[in-house]
Amino acid sequence: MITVNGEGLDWHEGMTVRDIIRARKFTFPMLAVWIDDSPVSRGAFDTTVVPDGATVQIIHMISGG
Amino acid sequence: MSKEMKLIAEWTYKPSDVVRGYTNQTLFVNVGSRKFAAKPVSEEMKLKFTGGRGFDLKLLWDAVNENTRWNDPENEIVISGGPLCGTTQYPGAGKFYAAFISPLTDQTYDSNSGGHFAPLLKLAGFDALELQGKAEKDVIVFIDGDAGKIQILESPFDDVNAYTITEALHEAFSDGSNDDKRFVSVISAGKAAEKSLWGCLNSSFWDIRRKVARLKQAGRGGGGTILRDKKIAAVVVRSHKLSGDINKAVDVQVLQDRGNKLHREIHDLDAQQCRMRTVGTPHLNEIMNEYHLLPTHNYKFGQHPDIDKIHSNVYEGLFTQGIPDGCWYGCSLACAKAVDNYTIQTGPCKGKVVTVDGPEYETVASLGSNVGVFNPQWTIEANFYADHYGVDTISLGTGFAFVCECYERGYITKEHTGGLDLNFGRADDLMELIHRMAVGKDEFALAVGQGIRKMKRIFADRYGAPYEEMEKFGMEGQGIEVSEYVPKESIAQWGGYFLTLKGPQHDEAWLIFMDRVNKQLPTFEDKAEALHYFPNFRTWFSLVGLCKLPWNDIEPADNATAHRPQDAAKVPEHVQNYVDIFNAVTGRNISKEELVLMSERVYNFQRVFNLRMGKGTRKDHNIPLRALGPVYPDEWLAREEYYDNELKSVGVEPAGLSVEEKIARLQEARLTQWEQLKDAVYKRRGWDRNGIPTVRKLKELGMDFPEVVSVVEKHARPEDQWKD
Repeated sequence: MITVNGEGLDWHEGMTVRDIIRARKFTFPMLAVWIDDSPVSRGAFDTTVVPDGATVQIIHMISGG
Repeated sequence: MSKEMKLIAEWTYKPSDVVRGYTNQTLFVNVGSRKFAAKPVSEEMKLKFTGGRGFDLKLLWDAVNENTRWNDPENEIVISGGPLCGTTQYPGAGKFYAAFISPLTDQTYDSNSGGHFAPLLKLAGFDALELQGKAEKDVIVFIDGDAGKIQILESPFDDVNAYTITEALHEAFSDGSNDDKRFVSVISAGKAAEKSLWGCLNSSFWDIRRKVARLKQAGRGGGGTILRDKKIAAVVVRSHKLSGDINKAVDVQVLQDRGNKLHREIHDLDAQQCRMRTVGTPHLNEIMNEYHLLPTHNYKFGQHPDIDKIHSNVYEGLFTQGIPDGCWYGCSLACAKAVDNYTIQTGPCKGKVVTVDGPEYETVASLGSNVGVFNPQWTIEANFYADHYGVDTISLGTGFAFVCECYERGYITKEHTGGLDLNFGRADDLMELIHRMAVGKDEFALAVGQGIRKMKRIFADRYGAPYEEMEKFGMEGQGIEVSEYVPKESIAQWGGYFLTLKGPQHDEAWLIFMDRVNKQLPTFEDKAEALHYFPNFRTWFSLVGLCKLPWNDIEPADNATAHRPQDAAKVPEHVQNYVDIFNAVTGRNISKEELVLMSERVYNFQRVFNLRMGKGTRKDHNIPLRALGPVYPDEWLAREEYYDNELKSVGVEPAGLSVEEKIARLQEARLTQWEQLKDAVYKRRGWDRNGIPTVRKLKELGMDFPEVVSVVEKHARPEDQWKD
């Protein structure tokens, strides 16, 4: 189990940042991702593996209006 | 033009040079008394009000009294750019801000537009323009910055609709060549602005590549209605003094450095970020749909299966590509997209081939999904006519969505609508209603143009519609229609829309992602902090003459990794750019904290101004129930599991409850949260429980002018003061 924006999400071996984004249906392009207080660049979303028990923040930059 | 423009009155002046962003004088024109004046701008006025909307409100305060209503002759339309307006080195610096007592809200309203008007006004020698009085017959106000004269001319136009009048005036006040027309800008409204309270101010710039007049809009609040009530057909400004350093900045090099860096970001990153240069704000269409935020069928739903028909890719195909679409020189974000060679299908312009400005996201939603029409061609045509007739596309669309729901619920029928079938999605009949509004064809068309707040009363009194039911889904606050985001799932956005100075317009705070998706604002205090910072930060754009979009619709490549998430949302590097370019133009030495303080001064002044006009207290911060949550079973059932969980989150077990009972229980809980939010926000802003700025707060801000303090003292009550 991991935490994404304060809510639980089932974890699986090899889970990447991109997998989480897909699972949460986050389609907004301007995302900031942090895993346990370390930032992940947008170019590394496909390859960054998320460890079990991680605290993940996926922040949507404001935009809108 | 069918007639000559006869001179009615003329006044000559000495154009004042721009120094460090200011001309240090403002222009007053009364079209009724035909009086003119140049008013000096003091150092104190610059320090306390900065410029733009700040100057507007200061001048408006001095012009009106507490009994002034929108159609009184002393009401003004005040227009100002601000000290950074006209900058060509940094993107997004061509905005003007207009302020007036609104016909929709009976209090101050400020509305902004791109285009060339404000920079040319500054070059003509003025930091602001006050339009007061009422003419006896249609007039044109001409500000000739080249010759140093102001004229009031008899309007020669039988047709005052915007495209007609704007094209003709660019021709009439230039030498007729394509190049020379760019030194002219026109503000106009249109016929519908005479018949409805949703009148917008169109502001032009001449597109030398397309060889047409483009129209941007200060759409909201009814400024166009006031313009036509004053019988002003158009305001024209002309100046040939365009240069690369309009503001005579203290340090042009800083402007160039910051500008060049942002130009590079836009060039390198826009295609991966918001695609502003190819599709503009409609890049949001499918994103908002995905997050249940696209208003559909009068905000009942936030998603629709036909989203692919209005996908951003569809609009990208409709917008002409490869043309730099900046609405002011130097804006490489270039989001002023347009549809070229569009053949009008209906109404008085049927068969004409035109360039249509937009549609932007708000119009795609208002004159599209919100009225159940998923046909871009229809939206483009509706957008064209809204601009041409001079009505705000947001209020028009949200107002029509309300009408559709009333029709669908049987509160109004064809008998009332003049035979129109106004169910959601009835594109042809909705287009016909736009045309009927423009000419005030019947009592129904006139009633619609009064806006949702008045429509509720008219439909109840005239057609027997149930007022209390309409209160639930009439999406307005403070008398003006909600803009195009579904607010019901974000407590912070209730505040972003409804705890505002002027009603539910998205230019104060857009917090849905921060609050609902990112979960960055878990407590009421967190939400209140955001509802303090963002409205004030965003207000700053309106003081200096900048567009907000280059702030956060593009971000530096490392923004997401160089800053903690809470800070990254503010785009710190761009905030620093703003501090730097303000200092570089004006020679002042502000910090990012002072930037917010500058806004807070004007924000609180405007709040007291509204109080002076009989508004501006807690009761005026109304919210319709649909903005808080579902009001009818179909809304709940569309996301049943989601709403059942929402009910659980407020401590109510949904099992065994009917849908109606669930709705009632959730609404009850959310109304309590709404009041809690109000308390937290008022406290953070330095207001009392009744939403009135305290004298202590005004003193802190240096805005304790005697006439301002006396308004507060007149209305403040001991029982509303916080104990601590």
